[in-house]
Amino acid sequence: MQAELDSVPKKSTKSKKASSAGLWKTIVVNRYLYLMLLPCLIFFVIFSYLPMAGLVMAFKEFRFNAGMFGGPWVGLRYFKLFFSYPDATQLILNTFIVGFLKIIVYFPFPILLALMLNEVRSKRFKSITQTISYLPYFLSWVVVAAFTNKILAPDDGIFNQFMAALGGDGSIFYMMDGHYFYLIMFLTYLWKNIGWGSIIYLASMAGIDPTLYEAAEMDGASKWRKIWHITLPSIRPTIAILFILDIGSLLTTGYEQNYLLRTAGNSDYSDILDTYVLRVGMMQGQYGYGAAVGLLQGLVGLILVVVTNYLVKRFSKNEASLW
Amino acid sequence: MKTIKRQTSLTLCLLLFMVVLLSACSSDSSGSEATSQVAADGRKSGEGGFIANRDLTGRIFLEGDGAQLPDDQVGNPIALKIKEKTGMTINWQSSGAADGLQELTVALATGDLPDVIEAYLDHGGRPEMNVLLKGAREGLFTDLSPYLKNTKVLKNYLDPDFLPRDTKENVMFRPEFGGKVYFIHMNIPAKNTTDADRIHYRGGLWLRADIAKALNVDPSTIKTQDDLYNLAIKIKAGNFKDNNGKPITVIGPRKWGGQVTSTLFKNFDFGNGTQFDVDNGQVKHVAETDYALKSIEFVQKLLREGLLDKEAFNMDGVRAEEAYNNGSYAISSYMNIAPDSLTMFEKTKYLPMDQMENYKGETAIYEKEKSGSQVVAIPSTTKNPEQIIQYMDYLASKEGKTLWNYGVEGEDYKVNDKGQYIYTDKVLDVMKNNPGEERNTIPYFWGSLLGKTDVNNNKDFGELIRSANSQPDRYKLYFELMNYGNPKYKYWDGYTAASYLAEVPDIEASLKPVLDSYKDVLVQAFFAKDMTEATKLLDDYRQQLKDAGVEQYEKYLQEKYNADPSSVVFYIDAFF
Repeated sequence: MQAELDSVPKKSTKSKKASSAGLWKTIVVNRYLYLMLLPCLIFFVIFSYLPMAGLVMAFKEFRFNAGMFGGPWVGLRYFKLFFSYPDATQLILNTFIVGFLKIIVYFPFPILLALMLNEVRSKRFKSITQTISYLPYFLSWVVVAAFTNKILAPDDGIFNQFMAALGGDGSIFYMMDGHYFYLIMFLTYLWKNIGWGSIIYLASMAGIDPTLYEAAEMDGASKWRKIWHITLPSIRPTIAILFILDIGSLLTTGYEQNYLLRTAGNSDYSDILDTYVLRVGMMQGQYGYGAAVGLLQGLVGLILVVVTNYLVKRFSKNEASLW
Repeated sequence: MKTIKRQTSLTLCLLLFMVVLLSACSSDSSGSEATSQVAADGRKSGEGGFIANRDLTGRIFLEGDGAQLPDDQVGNPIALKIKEKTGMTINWQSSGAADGLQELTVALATGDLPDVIEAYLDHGGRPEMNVLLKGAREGLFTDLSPYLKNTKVLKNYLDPDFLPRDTKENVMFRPEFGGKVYFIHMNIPAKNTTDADRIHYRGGLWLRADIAKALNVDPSTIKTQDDLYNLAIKIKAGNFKDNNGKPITVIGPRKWGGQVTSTLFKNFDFGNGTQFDVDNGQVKHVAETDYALKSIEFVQKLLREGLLDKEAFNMDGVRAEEAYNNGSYAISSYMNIAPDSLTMFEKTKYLPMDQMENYKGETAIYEKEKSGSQVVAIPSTTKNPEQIIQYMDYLASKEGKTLWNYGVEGEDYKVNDKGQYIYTDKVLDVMKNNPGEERNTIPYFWGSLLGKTDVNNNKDFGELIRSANSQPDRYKLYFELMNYGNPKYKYWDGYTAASYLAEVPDIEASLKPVLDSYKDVLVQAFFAKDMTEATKLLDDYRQQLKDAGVEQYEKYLQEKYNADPSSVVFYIDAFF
């Protein structure tokens, strides 16, 4: 028995050594593939992991002459300050609403577009449609916001003129009325991103074994049945992974769109944590305060990713999850 | 063995690549050093104006002003002439960013500072001041006081009568620095300048001249909100057209784009520019007075009756400027007559309506006493700062000013028998036919960055504005507008009620965001469906002010004011 027990760690060390030698061997054999991975790793180390050290600023007073790490510790002062800001609750609520719209509500639309494009038989029509749907993605939000303002301008904007022509009220100032903000924000976001977002699903659909469709066809399955029973289940892991990754940015959906579509009239709805961090942290040089709010966003994102990953793992029976 | 060698060399190559990449991202920001103390003609430092052979690098944080710099900052004829004399040149970096303050903050935080910097700062209450002061307190800048003494022009800064109070007490000689000077406030008028030596920009409402003529209205007689409203009604009934024959809107946004402007309701502009003022001896925020509701009521009336463009508070700058070039608005809610905007006035002539009564019933126009506009600072990393001060001193001298204002005598200008500086046809041709190229012929902006102070153009060059004597017909319009309606001026100087906020950081942290949101609240109230809703918005805002500590701040200001009423400036010449 004792001999058996003694042999366990020895065996384990040996197997560890063997496995690390095996890993090294695999790396050497696939060196070119690993080499291709290297720029990606460097990118994440430089732009994602190293900057994490800067989070310490959330607990320190930032001084120009002392840099990120040299200022005195201030404990949770910035967090207390943020939660005592009268609009903090509103900012958090707005951020959740915007994140919910951009991540949860938006999520099925690129899948639907990809499914529709996948069913198009004319290759020419498909490629033209696809190209047109990608184009808005390459437009800057500055441009999109400028023509959204122009289209929705009161009285002489195209939309108001159209409404007036139909007998409606052509004088509504949509950009100044906060009640329209989320609709405008969501529609412009959808228009700009749907084409680009559908690419990954189309790529995933291209990898589905065509014999599955042939077999289904022989069994007399309709187009809907094929989509429901073959296409969607085949891309389910892609959908799940993308959903988990997206959910992490529920509170950090970017400042550009809200910042540019913001007017004084819709500010109660359009001000989110990202725009607040930009305004207070960056523009007014309160880097510590900005870092503290950013840290809160990141922590909530991390918790959401972990929880979602757990739920997906559980309900998909380990079929799709990040880890 | 061969594989290990190959892996080692590969790893080394990658490491080298990363080092090269990272070193390419960093730059030496310590700036230049004097390479030689002897000029090409043998002059030593201090002899015949020679300072040192040195190429400086500067950086400006002035909101997109980089476009006015010459293409070749060191090799243009004027820069070469200055180098010949002093041995020094300067190359200004500018990102042309729309927000100079943000750029300044990032530069100070990252330590990305060249030999000398220049930031926007027209008075000590500007938001840039807080960032600059933080930099000075934390040792980022050089104390310039020892070097000012050894200059010919800049030593005026040490003269108690030269500087305005705000510059002296808040920008340059702050008591907290115990005699050390970290900033040089530029664009300070020379001693003994009179009102005739000032350029007035006439910020405020402006009315299209042809409409004023058609309605037989003298814009300078519009004094009250009722006068303005009745004029707007008349204009609307007049069915006037723009330069393209399209119907006009009566009142439009600021010339530079939409924003709330108190000029639109000047009769109610309590605490203009600071939001605080004294009402019956008590310091109050404007939202706590009836003036706020009156302003809202007036703007709502204009909007309801279609007299004010609904986009007056959010229109982008490009559209607004285009509209004013086309004469699409009868009245601008704010513009001014800076010399470089003369082209627009030549296309569509507007007349100033800035003599409306303010909330105190005054018709005098407020201006800052002896205004400064920008500050120069030398980072503490810069070697031989005294050379930069000497270089500035030369640029601020009559000889230096002549070079960057008028160029080289005989080639670019001539002095007539009245002592006036007149540009040659070569320069005038560029000014008239290719104004975008003027910066490459006469690098005025480039030279003004370090040289424009102790200013008295009338005394030095016989004209208030450059080129006024060379192009009298053109500048006739400028002077006509500047003096239209014989305006009276009232000058303010000192520390504003808004600036004091930085002195009480505990209150500032909670109160500043609420004060900043006042304009948003006003716009929401302008577009509220009725006055009941607007009143509710204002009541909510008052509660926010209270929660954020406005009463403590008012008490703080009240104590300052009671001890010395001139120590707090409540009403300034801002448009809000």
